Amino acid sequence: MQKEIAIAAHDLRMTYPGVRPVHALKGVSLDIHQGEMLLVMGPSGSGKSTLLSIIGGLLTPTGGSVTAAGTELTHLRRKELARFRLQNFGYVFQGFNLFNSMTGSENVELAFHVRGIQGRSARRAARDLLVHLGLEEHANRPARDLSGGEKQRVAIARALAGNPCAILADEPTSQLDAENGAIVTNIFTDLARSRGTTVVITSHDYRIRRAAERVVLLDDGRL
Amino acid sequence: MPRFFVALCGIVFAVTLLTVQVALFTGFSNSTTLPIAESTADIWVTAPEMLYFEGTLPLPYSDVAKVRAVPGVQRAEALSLSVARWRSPHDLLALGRVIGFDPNGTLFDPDGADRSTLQRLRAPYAFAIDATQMGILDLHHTGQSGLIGALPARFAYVTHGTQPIVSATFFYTSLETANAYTPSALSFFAPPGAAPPPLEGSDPIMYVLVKASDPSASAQLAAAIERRVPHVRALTRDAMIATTRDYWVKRTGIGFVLTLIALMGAFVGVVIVGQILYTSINEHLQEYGTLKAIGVNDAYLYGVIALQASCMALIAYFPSLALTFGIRAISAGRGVDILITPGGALLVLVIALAICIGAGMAAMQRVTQADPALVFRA
Repeated sequence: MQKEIAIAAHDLRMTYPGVRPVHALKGVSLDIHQGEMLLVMGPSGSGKSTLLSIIGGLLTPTGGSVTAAGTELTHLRRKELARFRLQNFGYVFQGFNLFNSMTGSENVELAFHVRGIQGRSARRAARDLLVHLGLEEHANRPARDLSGGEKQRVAIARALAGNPCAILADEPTSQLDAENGAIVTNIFTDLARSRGTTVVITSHDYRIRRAAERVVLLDDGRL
Repeated sequence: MPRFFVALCGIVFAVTLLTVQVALFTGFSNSTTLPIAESTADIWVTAPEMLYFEGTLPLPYSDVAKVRAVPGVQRAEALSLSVARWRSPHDLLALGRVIGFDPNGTLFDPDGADRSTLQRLRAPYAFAIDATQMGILDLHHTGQSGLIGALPARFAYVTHGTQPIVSATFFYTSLETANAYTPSALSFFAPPGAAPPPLEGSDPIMYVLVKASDPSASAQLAAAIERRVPHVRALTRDAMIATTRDYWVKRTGIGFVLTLIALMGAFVGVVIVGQILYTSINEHLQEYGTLKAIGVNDAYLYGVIALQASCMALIAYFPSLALTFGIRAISAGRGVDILITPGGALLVLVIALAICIGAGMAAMQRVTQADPALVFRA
């Protein structure tokens, strides 16, 4: 049975202005299905991060449209876009982007706080996520003291805090060793297969390439 | 942590600067009205032309009796004020002001001295001065003598905290001695060694101090005095303080300069704190960007910055207050009054919070304008 389309990008174009304008995307169209694990590959400067930013509602394209969860993102105002991101997307970053002075648990709790879940409920929900990702022993350590793999798992827990319909991950394993890279890849695979979460990843990691349901190659702003 | 400490030091410096300047301004403002504060009078009667405590024209001494006769006046005493030309035992010259009052009276008592101390001013040509003025007058201990005009003047006792920083030295003495020192008085030509004579009805005084039978009705009594005694102006104690303070603060260069310095302190504070918060926000831009990427709205981010700025203001406030008390202790006895009142301390806290939050909001522009997509650029 054909899966429902979670994110649909149509003829995306992105030009960064400047003395010499950079055409990062030159008409990219892409349908991403619900529960699909999609890997976007391509050389540096091919437009992978730009594509991820646009389909993740972080960047407005100069042309084309993106529809996610039935909403046309390119028509939303800044505030509406922020609310949409909060309710529908989770992000995982190459550099983890954790708050280093906070504990792992507090980093995840913060994601609940900004969604209006406070106090004990937030603590319990954060702990559940960290336990699910095998981090129960490290929950109360400051993020700065965690290993790269642990940090990335905390970042994934944070991304899952709002139970998003899609996770967008930019080079999530590039700073991890082989063992932790494999753990993180398995988490993404499990998210897509068991929970039906759409996972869009940009990466060069061959392990993700093997695990991904579909791989698309982006080169010079074109698929 | 060291970075936070450096940032905190900067804010402590800015808030201390502000606190000292507010305290200086408060001290100055308070100092200008010290002679009025030393009196327990409910009403001050003087010439209609009065601008401030020292800036008024004389009344005849006979006005004291006229004021005393107004119903509702419980007590009335004279206060005189004239120029003094001081010559020290070692021929050092200085200008001052002679303030004459009744040492047997109850309405004026510099430094709240006890009866026996005040009685020392009953002796002819005896005077008291503030401790900060001893060096200026070349006096080292009580009992020393000099000249005021051509008449002898003997240093009888020391007062503390009675000298306005804006005024020439105040010589506190009896009405009779003050009258003798007044250049226009006939007693100026009194033979050497003679005690100054009592005041006559035509002798000049500057104020009639009034104790009202009902202090709560001082304003009505002041109006009654103005109706019953011709060519005088009667001010309640609060009005007298406000008139004198306003004159110094609003109509003189020194008031303008101190106001300007206080405002500059606040401005420097804004610049320093703004710079610190801007740098701090820049350093954490990736973290703020992460929050924005997650979908946190600007109001939440403003709240985070306001909380951070408020915490910094509060943490910096108490060391700043302690430093200001230290500076006050160092400057004590040098004629500079750094006065920290509860109201002034509260004002500084409010300004410090406003400065920090305002600077934080300005620095917040860096975050609101930041591109949330920056988080995907490692």
